[in-house]
Amino acid sequence: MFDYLGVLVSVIFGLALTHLLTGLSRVIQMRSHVRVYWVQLLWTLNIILYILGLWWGMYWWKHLQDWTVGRFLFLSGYASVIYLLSALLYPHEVAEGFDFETHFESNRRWFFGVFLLALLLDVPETLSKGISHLRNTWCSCRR
Amino acid sequence: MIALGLTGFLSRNRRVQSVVALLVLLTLIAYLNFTSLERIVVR
Repeated sequence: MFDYLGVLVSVIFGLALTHLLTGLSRVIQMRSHVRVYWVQLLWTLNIILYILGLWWGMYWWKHLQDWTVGRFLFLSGYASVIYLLSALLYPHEVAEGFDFETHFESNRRWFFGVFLLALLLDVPETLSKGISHLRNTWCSCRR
Repeated sequence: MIALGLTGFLSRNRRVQSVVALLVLLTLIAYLNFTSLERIVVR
């Protein structure tokens, strides 16, 4: 079941990654014609890592046998929020003289609002997993 | 992480924004370091 339902979630995550990497490549290509903002670049890296971490942990859901519409909507909704987060970082069109700092600042409340929503959605997801997926690094360091 | 998100939401200060972005990066790296795909798969 997971193999089927997970496809849509994968596509949404893939679109989010594509949007971020396209935006980043546009910044590199137009670096001398636009005003680059390093905090926005750092957030690009953050969201990429966030998506990769979610993808990494999503395998846990494979063990779930009892799939309901609610669970499916939750996972696809969570992925959609992550896509929205990526879309808020980069506009679809970047003209010469574009100021990424002004863009980030004008979207700041929406960006952090959606980021907070993603973190809140992560709470039930993390609680359902517990700590079974975490390595006991601290204990292995003491040995 | 939620506290960092709230700080970013509330503050317009450039320095605060830089610190928030850096701390989120460090938190994500730490989290990824502690997760184990083997344990997810084995379970």
